[in-house]
Amino acid sequence: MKITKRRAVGLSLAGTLGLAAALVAGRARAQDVAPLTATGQFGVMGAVRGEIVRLNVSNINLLPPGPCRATIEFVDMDGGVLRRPDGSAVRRDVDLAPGQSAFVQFHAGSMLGREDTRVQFRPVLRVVPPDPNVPPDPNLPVDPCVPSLEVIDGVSGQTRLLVPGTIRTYSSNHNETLLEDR
Amino acid sequence: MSARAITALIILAACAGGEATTPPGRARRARARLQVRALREAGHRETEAADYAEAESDLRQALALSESALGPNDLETARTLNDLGMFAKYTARFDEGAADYARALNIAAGPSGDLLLVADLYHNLGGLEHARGRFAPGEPFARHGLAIRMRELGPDHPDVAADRAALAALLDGQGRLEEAEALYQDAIKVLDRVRGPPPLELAVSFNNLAAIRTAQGRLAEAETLYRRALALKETRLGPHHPDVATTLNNLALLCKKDRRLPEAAALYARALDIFTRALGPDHPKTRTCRVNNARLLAAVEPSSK
Repeated sequence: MKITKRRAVGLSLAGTLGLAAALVAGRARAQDVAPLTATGQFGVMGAVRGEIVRLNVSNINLLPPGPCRATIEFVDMDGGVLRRPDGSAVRRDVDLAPGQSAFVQFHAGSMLGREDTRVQFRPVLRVVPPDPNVPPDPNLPVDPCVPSLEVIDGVSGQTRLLVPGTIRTYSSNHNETLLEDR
Repeated sequence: MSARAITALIILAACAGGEATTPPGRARRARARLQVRALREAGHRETEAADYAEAESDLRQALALSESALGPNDLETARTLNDLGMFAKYTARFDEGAADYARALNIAAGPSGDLLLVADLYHNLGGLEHARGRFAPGEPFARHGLAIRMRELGPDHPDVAADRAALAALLDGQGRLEEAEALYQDAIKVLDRVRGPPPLELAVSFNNLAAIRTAQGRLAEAETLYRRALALKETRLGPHHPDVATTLNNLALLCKKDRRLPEAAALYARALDIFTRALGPDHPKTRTCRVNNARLLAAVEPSSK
């Protein structure tokens, strides 16, 4: 099926709005959500007992090509992957078809010793590069894997903090030399 | 109706449903912000694909929506103005671009501003001067953008490398080839390590470094760099993009210097065709390529008689 540019743009818009739907629905039950500056990269964050930390990733393309192949994980202050008490890594490899989403999460309390009050972590999304032999479709987002991070109240299920992701974009031009034959 | 279209409608309906359960003003702004971002994203893709009519339409819609729903001084409005400034540069509407950047800078440098956007804007103001051929006035803009971004992101970030490459082009234009070359080499080292598909700035740096090598008479090295640039651009942008034509033009000049005139003629013909179709006959790049081609033909014709 041939997809026209206008239609692809429209569906991409729908995809972004789809992400909005997820975010808006997440906010619907939480009045204390504090959205931060949208970014696809995350710095170090913290959580306390009773909180669940969830890293989501969505393939926002509604059309092929797909999939979004990525690893979502949490690392500690030294860059080592966080591990649950049973030794399992807080990590998930995902292979998302267009439109699909997945998440990985941990309970902050389960990471804390008796005397500890706070767990520090950094969410990481690593996208497996697409096949370099296949030219990208200019009508689709450069990077369809969009993350978002939630810190959830473990009792009420309310989202306390939401850090939305965004599509990588180009905001700087480039200065290219065009030679004149003088 | 296809399954995908139905999925899209379901998602839109879910989005509309979500609005009713949140404070209406906040939900409306959140939805408008996402719509603006989606339009900007479409505008970026269309600008990169040199589909300028579509890009302008989407970016103007984004600006109108951002100004009306989010406010004239919102950061999203500033980002959209930055996008429009870039679009104006590529279409050689330089005064319009300067006005867009100035307005965006006023917002981005304000109390609720965004330092990285300020860095983008200085980078782009330097780029505008580069496109006008006013290299010395562009240098302070590029240096300022680089300084901000280096402080914010550290020296090895790919965006900092792109800033270095942009500054190098302004120095290169002033004939400061050694300074420019060092900056290109630094930028290439970082950009070459970026994971995933190679960034476009890597191809641009290869092209620009090749132009310096050509000026130094190191034609074999220059040709290798041009061909690397060309391969990256054709993979990333397709064979009919004006950025591809830029490297074809430069490679043609190299072939002319190397007395490979039929090859030079074929390269100029292809470059001129791309520039004319994508940018129109009066764009400065099209004019430069046309003059280069005419000079080649003038050089060829006497010997063929």
